[in-house]
Parts: sequence; structure tokens; C-alpha cells
Amino acid sequence: MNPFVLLSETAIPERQATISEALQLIGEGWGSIFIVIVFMICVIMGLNKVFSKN
Amino acid sequence: MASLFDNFAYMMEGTNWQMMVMWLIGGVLITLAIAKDMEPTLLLPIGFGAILMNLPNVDLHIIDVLFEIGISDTFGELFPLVLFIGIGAMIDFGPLLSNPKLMIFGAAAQFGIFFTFFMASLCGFDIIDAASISIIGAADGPTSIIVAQELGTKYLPAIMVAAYSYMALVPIVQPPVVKLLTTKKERMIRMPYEPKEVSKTTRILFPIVITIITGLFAPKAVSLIGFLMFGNLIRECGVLNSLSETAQKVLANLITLFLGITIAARMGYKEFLNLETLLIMGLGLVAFIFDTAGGIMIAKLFNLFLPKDKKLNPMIGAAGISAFPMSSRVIHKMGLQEDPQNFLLMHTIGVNVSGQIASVIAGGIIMSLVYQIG
Repeated sequence: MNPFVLLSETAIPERQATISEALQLIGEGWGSIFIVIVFMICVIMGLNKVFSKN
Repeated sequence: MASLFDNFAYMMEGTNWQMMVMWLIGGVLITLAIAKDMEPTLLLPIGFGAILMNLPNVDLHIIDVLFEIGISDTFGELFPLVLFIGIGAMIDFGPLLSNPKLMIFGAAAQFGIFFTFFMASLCGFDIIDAASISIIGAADGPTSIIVAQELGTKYLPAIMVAAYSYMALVPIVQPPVVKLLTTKKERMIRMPYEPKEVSKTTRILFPIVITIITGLFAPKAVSLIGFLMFGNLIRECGVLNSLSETAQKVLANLITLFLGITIAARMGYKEFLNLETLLIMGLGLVAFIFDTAGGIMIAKLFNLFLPKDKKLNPMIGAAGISAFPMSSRVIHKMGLQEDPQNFLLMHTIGVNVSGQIASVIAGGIIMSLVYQIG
């Protein structure tokens, strides 16, 4: 399962998520945010370094 | 005179107790807005709308039209997206750019969203509704509206009311959780603020770069983050001051004016008065509690590895929710209560604006993930 893939053509199942699916979503969802944010932090630190006045 | 009484009799005939309960709910929201100054710009129109929409035998087609134009996907969720331009123009990302590592707490404090999905699923909500309810934890009105609307949940009004109510209740919800999860000694940790100068080029590139990264990693969040960052680019570019001011004041006020009353379009008693609404309010509280806990626990985790003189005050993690600037002020005040010389405000602002970005990304990620279940 790749959390970053756009799957707008797929329908969301009309049912309750199982416990394992919900737990998996916690892990993948929270984990994905960390990955994106860490990437952003690195880019911002890079920008700060490149464009710092010193 | 007789026709006036005929009208009254006709109206009373169509009135039922559920409508009266909705009038009461509307009254409570208006009271909270006026007497307690809780998110008055939204709770007041929502409260008034709740009364308006529950009058018997009254045709309020205009509010349905506003809903179609402003919130439904017919016009791409116009109101919340345009509101994001105003919000982006209002936010100074300087404290974050000065210390970008703080962004990690913005990510940490989105835990409540995903935990609430788990809890909502346990409560029996289907995947669409559970994901829509979980986004209350974004602590951000426009994000909640867009995610709930995009997913097509039937609980949009309850989600809206919960999201805005808990944003207003941050000063009541967060402090007990913070106190429960931190010791007095931890709350007294001082964090000196050593701002690094941020160049104008970095400030201008920041919104562009964040939009591109979000587009690449979480495409479903790109409309939200794009409008937020567009507003910020107008602010930071330095050549569109007039537009920036308009976005911050006139545009944001105009959209807010219509947004509240438009949300109320779905607050008819038949849609709103049910057990699920109560459950959603409860799950909203869970979302805010676990958001706060997520931020604090990650800060505490970092402290395990940081040298003694570089320890973080774990309370700043709690400011990673998107409710800006409420959460940063609450945590700053808590720091001052423990130690009148402990000024955490600039750190909490940095974390709080990170929460703005992270909550939008979380919205996009949850929309992507639910499509992949099954």
C-alpha cells in the first residue's frame, strides 16, 4: 500500500474498517506525515543555508 | 389581524420538539460566541443558522444555494479554499523558518486524527464517516469542511460544529492533558529563543517549495496547501501589499461571514438531532486530546536523547495542533504559570504554524489512505 498514490478512480468501500485496517492507517498516516515534514525541514534548512546573509 | 393569528397557528402546527431543541442549541452557540468570546465569527452565524433552518414551513432556498456555491463540490468547495488565501496571508512563518526543526511537532500533533479514525471505526462508523470524523483532529475548520465534503459524509454539519467548538475550547481541553502528561519540572524547562535571520528569498521560496513538495507527496492536499501558500506568497513577496491586506481582512471576513450561515444549511433537525451527532462530539474531543498527547510524547521522546542543556519543554509539542494562535498562547501561558520568566511564545508559534501545514497534509493523506483500504 502506497499512501502517496492518488487513487481518485477507486471507490471507498462502504463498510466499517477492521481493527487491523484502522491500526494500519494510524501507522501509515502518522508515518507519512513525518516523512513529508522531515523532507520539508531538510529543504527549509537548505534554503536557509543557501540564502543566509552571512 | 386575523390572518396574523392564522399564520401563527399554521407555524405552530408545523413546530415540533426537535425544532425547539435546535433553537436551544442555536441559543447555546450564540451565547458561547457572545458571552465567552469563543470563535464568535463562526459560532454566532452557525448558532443563528441553526435557529433559522429549524423554523417550520419556511422556505430558505437561498441558504441551500449558498451551500451549493460555497461548500459543495459543485464549485470546488469555494468558501474554505478562498478562506485559506486569507489565512495564508495572515500567517508569519518567520519563527518556523528560523527554527525549522520545530515542524516535527506539527507532524506529531496530528496523531489524534488517525487515532480518532480507529475509535470511530470501533464505534461502528463506516470508512467514509470515520475518516471524515477523524479530521476534526486537524483543528482546522476549512480542512475539516473540505475533507468531509470530498469524502461525502452525511455528518458534515456535526463535524463542522465539533471542529469549530473544540477549536474554541482549546484553552479548556489542552491544559489538563498537558498537566497529566508532564511533570512540573518538565513544564519549567526554559528554552532560550535565539532567532536566526531569515532572508527575504527564503520567505518567498518557502510557500512555493511547500506547495511543490505537498503536490508530489500528498496530491490530495494540494488544493488546500496551494491556496494557503498562495496567500502567504502574496504576503511575503513585498509587491502586493494591497492584495495582502485585502486577503487578510476583507476577503477573510467576507468568506467567514457567509461560511457560518452556510454550514447551518445542513443543520435541519432531521439531519442533526441524532445519537451519531453526540458520538461525533465525543470523538472530536478524543481527537483533540490525542493530538495534544502526540505532540507532548514526541517532545518527551526527543528529550531522552538531547543533552541536559538542550532539553525541550515538552509542552511546546501540544502547540502542534492547527488551532492558531489559540494553542500557542495557551501553552505560553502555561509556561508562565510555572515560571514567570519562562517565555515559550516564539517556540510555540513556530510549532503552531507548523501544525497548520501538517494538518492540511494530514487531511490529504487520510483522503488518499481511505481509498486504499480494501
